Amino acid sequence: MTEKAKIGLEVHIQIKTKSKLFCSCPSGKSENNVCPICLGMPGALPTPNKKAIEYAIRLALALNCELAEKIIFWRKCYFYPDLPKNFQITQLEPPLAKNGKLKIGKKIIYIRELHLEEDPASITYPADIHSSRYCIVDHSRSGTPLIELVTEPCFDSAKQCRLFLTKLVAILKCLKIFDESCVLRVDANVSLNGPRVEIKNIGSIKEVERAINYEIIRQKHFAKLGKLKRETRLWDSTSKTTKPMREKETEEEYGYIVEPNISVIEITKEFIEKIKKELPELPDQKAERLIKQYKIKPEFAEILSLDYDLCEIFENIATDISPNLAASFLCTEVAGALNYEELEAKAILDRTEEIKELLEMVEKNKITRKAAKKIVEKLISKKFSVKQFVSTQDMYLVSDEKKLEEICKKVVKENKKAVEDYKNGKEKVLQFFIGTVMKMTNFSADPQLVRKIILRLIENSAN
Amino acid sequence: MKVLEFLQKVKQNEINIEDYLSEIVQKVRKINDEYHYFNSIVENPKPEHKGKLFGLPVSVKDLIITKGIETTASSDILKGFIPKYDATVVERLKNAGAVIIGKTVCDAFGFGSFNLNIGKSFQPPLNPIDKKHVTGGSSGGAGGITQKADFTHVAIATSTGGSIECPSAFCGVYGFCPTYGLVSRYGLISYADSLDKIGIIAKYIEDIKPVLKIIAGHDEKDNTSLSQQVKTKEVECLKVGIVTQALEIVNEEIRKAVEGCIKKIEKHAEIVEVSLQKAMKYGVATYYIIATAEASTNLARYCGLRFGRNEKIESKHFREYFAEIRGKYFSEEEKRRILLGTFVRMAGFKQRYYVKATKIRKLVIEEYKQAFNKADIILTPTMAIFPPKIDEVEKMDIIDIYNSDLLTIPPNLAGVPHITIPVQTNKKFPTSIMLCSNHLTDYWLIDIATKIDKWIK
Ligand SMILES: [Zn+2]
Repeated sequence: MTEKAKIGLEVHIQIKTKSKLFCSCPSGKSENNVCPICLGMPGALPTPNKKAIEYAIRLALALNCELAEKIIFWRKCYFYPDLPKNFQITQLEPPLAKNGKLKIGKKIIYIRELHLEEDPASITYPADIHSSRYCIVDHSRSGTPLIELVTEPCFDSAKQCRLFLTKLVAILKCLKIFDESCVLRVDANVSLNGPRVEIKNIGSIKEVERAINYEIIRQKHFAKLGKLKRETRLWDSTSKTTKPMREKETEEEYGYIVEPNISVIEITKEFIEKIKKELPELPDQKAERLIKQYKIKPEFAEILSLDYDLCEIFENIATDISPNLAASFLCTEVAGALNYEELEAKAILDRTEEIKELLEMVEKNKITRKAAKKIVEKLISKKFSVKQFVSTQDMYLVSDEKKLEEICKKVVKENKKAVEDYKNGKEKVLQFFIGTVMKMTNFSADPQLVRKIILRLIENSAN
Repeated sequence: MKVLEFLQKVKQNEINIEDYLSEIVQKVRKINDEYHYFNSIVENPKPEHKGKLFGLPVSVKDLIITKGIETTASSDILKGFIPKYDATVVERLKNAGAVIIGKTVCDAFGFGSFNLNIGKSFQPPLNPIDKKHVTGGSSGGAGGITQKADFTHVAIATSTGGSIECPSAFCGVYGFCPTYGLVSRYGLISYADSLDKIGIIAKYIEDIKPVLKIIAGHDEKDNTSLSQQVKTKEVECLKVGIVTQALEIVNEEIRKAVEGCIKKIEKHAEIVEVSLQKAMKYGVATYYIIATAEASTNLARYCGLRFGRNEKIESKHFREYFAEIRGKYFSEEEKRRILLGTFVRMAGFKQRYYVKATKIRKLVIEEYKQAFNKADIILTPTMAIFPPKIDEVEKMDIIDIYNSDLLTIPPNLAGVPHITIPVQTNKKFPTSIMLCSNHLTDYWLIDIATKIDKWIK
């Protein structure tokens, strides 16, 4: 099978407004935040949240979309227990915005449309969805503002989808309309020139990549067997597989009508201009500026431009220390450690000063970069004084040749086999020797000096 | 006693409110046993606040949400629903010192012209002039109690296509339906949101204005609520528009009575001919398409999950459960309108019905604008027939029933204010004329109607 995958995404983004889309209940995960409106009580009427509209316009502008002249809400009618009114207030014609673009590396991702809608309640099942005898409907989510963004089917790999979503989230954060408390849900359409399969309910960016990769493999396999069919499948994050939805999806019929309780809202040119003026610097502009202003490598500039908080740290310390050192340390050592601990850079914003002190010591050759790495790995889970740590842990750079030679001798002596290997051409072994010495000195040894001593010792050792 | 006189007497302590209200409760109970105007009667009604309507007894149609008082829309599916909030209208009335005495019966969700479409748990209201006849609908209880009450009282009712006008005509009282958006709909159980209005039924025409002044005005909880001010109008010589076609289709006795009125009015005003051709020709169809399309979505929420009726749900698939509850507790007319309304908005039919109807509504509004260039008000009969007997309605064809709204639908579609005035006839039942005027001229219309009421007496 050599068919290229064709993937389109439908992204549901919860946005960070103070109140819900059509009532004044607080938005987000607080308890008991329900009222007659978001419970769909008889007689209760929706009032649109102006801030949510402004936020959606911000995103539309950031994605270079064409904006509609007026906002019209519609009723999308279907019966489901998570839908208090048994219809969802959403947009149909015209969508809030259409024909947007976002660049991922050299590839342009086309955005078909984006619009505002209300989130249904959330449903939890005591057991498996099919075998549960009942389900629990929690209405605190009901009425949370969502932006639904639909791309053209222009992705050809799961990785591309991940990169797009990562950049999208970076933009959302830049626009201050999204944070860690907001949820992103994705439906993906995947086809390999054959029937189109929709995967529903993917809860995170990582899962999107997994689900699509799984689906591509599944489709290849089923295509070989001649069993591939058009269907809707559900992503199960526990088993890491997609499963067919039980209900047969006939052609969807939502019987849309205009929501008569909400007047048509004009989007004036003045309003758009005002939002445009207030738009913050977006990732692409930021990367460009970072390269220009700090002369750092483009790959670091890109990483920093996509991580709002990491970039905050960078810009705060890059005036005092070499921007190149700061950028490379943040993008490799710090980003790696954060990733390992599954933390966001936001969690270490209050440790900017400590990171700066560490790098100053590296710059002044007081500690090794390795030592700085080890210290920062600890620093991300707990704030402490790095200077004190360096001295109590004896981590100041050691360039005393005699002292180091003693340790090196010991290491060489204890690893005769490795010496042989090196002599037989296994040059990698040198790294092993240096690493061992570094560990034994708690990363305080000057690695260049160690390298010199080790080479000399091996050279001089008897055959 | 008229409202203003009553309020004055209360103010001067000539009426003891407590005694008066408990006496009213007795009377209401007695009337209700015989005529069935109320779904619920408040046990111990008393004013909660001081205000401009202090002590005024008010009945509220059971389609409007009242905190702590069972609100059913006269449908079995909402039986037992006790809301936790007040409709804006109710809140404003309470804040002004008015007293809610009970919830009046109506056609379920406002679906009907004779108030016979009610749930099995309710009783149909009987005409106050002859119990064998209908009160008209959907605000039948409101019309009936207003005629029957020998105490000061105003009824809060609602109209979507004629639900204030029809029972007012059949019961011989005054009905007023404001400009769409003048009175907040927050807390009005939706029938067809783009057409629903809250208005007033009263025994005396002078009773309407003081109550309207309290309930009208912008409400930020209703996004379609108007923020513009009501306009006044200076008219040197009043021009009254007559729609000849409307007079041709009504019962002979009604036509005679209305023509009698026109003759009397002619002494004080200029009579001009206006055309409402589109409204008369397409009004009923347009109305029933838009109204049922919206109604079918509004009634989707009644599925036995969050309010009203509910039953044992465990182990059932939700579709099965929803179908069971809806099948069991919706009446035939509720089901008919849900099916009709779902049909007209489905793919393949939507353009032909729903979309076309919304376009025709715009033409009807335009037609009214044209008509108001020629006339200050438009006068038509309210109903083409006298209130039929209950058993006669049961034999009527559904299309004939829908067509009985022919004259009240046009101003409702256009969202213009209109008022009905009872007119005596040579028959047992009175009939009624309906006056309508341009958007947001509500108070002016009431003033003119008050004059006309005197001219025709
Ligand atoms: Zn709410």
